[in-house]
Amino acid sequence: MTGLRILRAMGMALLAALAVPLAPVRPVAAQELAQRLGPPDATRSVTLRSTTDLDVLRPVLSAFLADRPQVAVRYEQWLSNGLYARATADCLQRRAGADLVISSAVHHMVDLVNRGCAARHVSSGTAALPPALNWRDELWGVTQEPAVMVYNRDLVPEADVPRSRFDLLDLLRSPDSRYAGRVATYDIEASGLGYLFAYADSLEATTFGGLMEAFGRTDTVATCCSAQIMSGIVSGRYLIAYNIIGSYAMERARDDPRLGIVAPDDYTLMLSRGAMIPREAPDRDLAGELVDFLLSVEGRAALKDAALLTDLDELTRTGAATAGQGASLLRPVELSPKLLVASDRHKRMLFLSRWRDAFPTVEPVAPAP
Amino acid sequence: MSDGRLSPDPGPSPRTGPGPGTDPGPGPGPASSAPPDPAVPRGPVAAGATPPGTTLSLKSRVAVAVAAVVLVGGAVVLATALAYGRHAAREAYDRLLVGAASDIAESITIRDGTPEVDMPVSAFELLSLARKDRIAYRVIDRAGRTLTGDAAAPAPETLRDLSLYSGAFGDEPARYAAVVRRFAERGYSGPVQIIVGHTLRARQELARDIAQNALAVLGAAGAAIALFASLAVASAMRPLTDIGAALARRDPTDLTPLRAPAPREIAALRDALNAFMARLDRQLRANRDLISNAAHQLRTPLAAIRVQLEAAADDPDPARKEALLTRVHERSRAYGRLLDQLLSQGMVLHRADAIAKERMDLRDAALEIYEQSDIEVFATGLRLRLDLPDDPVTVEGDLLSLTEAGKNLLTNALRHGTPPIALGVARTGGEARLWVRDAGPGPAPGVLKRIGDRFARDGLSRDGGAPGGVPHTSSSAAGRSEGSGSMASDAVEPKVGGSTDRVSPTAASPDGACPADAPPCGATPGGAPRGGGAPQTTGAAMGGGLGLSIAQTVADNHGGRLSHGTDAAGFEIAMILPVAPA
Repeated sequence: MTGLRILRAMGMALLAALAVPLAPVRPVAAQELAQRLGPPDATRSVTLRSTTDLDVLRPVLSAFLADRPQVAVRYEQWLSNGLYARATADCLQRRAGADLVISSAVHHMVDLVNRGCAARHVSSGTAALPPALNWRDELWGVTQEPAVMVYNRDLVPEADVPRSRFDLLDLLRSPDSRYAGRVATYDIEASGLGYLFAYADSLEATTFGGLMEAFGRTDTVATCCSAQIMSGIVSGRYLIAYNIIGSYAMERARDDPRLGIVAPDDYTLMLSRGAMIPREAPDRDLAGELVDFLLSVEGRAALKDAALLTDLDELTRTGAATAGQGASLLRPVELSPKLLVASDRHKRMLFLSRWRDAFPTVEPVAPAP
Repeated sequence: MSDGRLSPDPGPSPRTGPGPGTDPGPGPGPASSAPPDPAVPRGPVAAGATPPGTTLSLKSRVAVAVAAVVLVGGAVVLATALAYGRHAAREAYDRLLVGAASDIAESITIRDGTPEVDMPVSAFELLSLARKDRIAYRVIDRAGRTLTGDAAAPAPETLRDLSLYSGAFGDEPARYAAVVRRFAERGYSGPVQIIVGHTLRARQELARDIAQNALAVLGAAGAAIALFASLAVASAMRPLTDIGAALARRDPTDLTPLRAPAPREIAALRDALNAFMARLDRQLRANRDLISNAAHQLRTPLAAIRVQLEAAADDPDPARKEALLTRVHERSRAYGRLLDQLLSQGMVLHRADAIAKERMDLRDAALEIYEQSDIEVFATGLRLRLDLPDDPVTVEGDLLSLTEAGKNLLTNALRHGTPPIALGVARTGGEARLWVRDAGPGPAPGVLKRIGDRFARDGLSRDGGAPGGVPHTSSSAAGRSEGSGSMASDAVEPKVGGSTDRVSPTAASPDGACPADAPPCGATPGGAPRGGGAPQTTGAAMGGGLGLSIAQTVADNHGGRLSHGTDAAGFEIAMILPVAPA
């Protein structure tokens, strides 16, 4: 629990920084990792800041670099809230930062674009995107990843496997259920993606209220980061995890048969990571080239290999979704100004206070001044 | 052309020379071999000269007019459409802004003395209808603090329940709506202002769409207008082309009026054309008549002169020779007078159509007649009284023609009437009279009966009624078939209207040769070597001339008539013309 506390504290610090976006931004040490890819003698370099695990994205970037011997990618892996804070600060101070920003917390990206922080880029690739995945030619949805439930195949009997949120609610009905305390989900205060999924859930169905209540009743664990949660599942620490980004889970499930994945039957959120070229990007052209690559046939093949492009067929084939589901099962998170509501200060305060009410173990965060 | 023909042209002219095809004579005379007089304008040559230039075609004119209408109208419509588009876009999206702002206002609650905004997704769904526009929003409490949203969003200058205003959003222009919700709660009493704005892309797109649609409709309308205008012009022009084609198809001598029905505008042209052709036809006829008349009238006396000259040459007796020569001299003078009259008749006929009538004082004509008759009056030794009213007698007329007509009436009186002779002008009611009076009984009633008859012979000569009188202004062969008339008419008729317009009056050829098929020719009265009677009669006809006919023609042309009467004082003949309206 101590580790969790520390993580929470980090999240609170982030939140404090975010709560007042216009106040001088404190340096946030949220950068998890920085690595340079490509030949050492490359003449051009593109700085990519992303929330994506480098290990997942590396083959995609390698494919990009394969045809470009003169290009290097400077990759920085960030937590979504930190990335948002940094990009906002860069934009407000008109400071050259990243050439390309890709975040799973697309409400952050929508907010950045809405603030006028993005540069326009138009190509055949961006023009071919559906309207829900292209906002103002400044923000593009480059991946397609479901929000899934993950469970331990060894420890969760087949009959118990929740196919929908209602099933999960049933499992958590009683505080002395064997799943009590062994269900995990993102800590939405720490994870921008977790917040986004929770917010999207709150818009989709009334189930979310019941689910929060059940989570609180059964001491569900709110924690950070997909990797830790999945490790917990595999180790048996958690039996079921809710609203986990499907790409990581599927990637991991390829190697680990203990990991079961469910795309909920009632609806499955479909997230497209948002890519945006900051207005002050040093090399916009190269950044645009990278975006075009991600939208190209070749790039999409690489993304698919990295489990970053999942469609209904794929979900059905892997058994995550029950066969015979229509496309209405999937609820894409649209890249539109509607997501601004998710970033609204009061909305966020209200949402988090509801969250805290449900998770009494989480220490309350002082409301923003 | 008419002038050329009617002017006394002494030189041989191809028009009066014998035509090669119809000349039965021994060979072409000197006239026929003479080169055409270059000074005489000729129809075909004139027509073959530089063709008249064409001006901008009617289609082009209509095209220009339509283009102007479409362009000017298009500019106006486009400007209007743009303005309307902008207005419509502004209205539509302003409502969106107000709707969203009100939506947000509804979502505000007071908790612990602080307004709390549970931002409604519906407001942003509304705003996302402008899909590509960035959204700025801001909620301000009574103290002016920004509760949520973008603190940089501009607030309206005054706090009103609803404000709509323009401002900036970052680097882009934007439109804002601000609404105020007033609270009266225990913990919070006062207004909360909600500002919502977005950038203008959707508005501009909508305005552009509207304008583009208007432009498309306008383009289509322009094309349709052009098409219909072109069809209309083609249809409107068809009657003109038809008239042109009808004229082109015509026989060159055909001067009958065009009968084809035509639209009103073009009927005017057709009627003018018909009138023109009718005038041309009249003049052609007049010329033809004149020529045949001249040929006929001149031929006989000339033959008589020739015969007498031959007789004189053959006569050994000097006294008889002298008498014959004197006679020839007299005759040639009469011959000259006849020629004058023929020309005079040609002139009045020509002027009837060619010269516009003007307002004039008929007294001027009388004075002119009086003066021009001086020599003749002096020669006869008679006295001439001139009787003019004090006031002007105004008519619409041609002074020259009227003078000519009056002169002829006067000459007749001087020559055949009984002195005293008077000339005068009078006005009775709406009629003006130019009269000539003598003390005699007037001509024989039979002669007067024929006044006004176009085929009448001028028998007013008092010296015996001129049994062998001469037809004049006649186009009918029947009218002059007596005597030698047939010769002239036969010779003239087929020629008139030919392309060279030449007339070959064989009977009038200088050597007096007669057509082979005209045996009476040799038996003309003038043909008798010593025939004193017949030439005398002819001479009288020459003297009487065409005077009355000329007067009749002029009176007709002026819308008047000839009138005559005999009373105790003598005989009066008058030209009666309508008085010109004041």
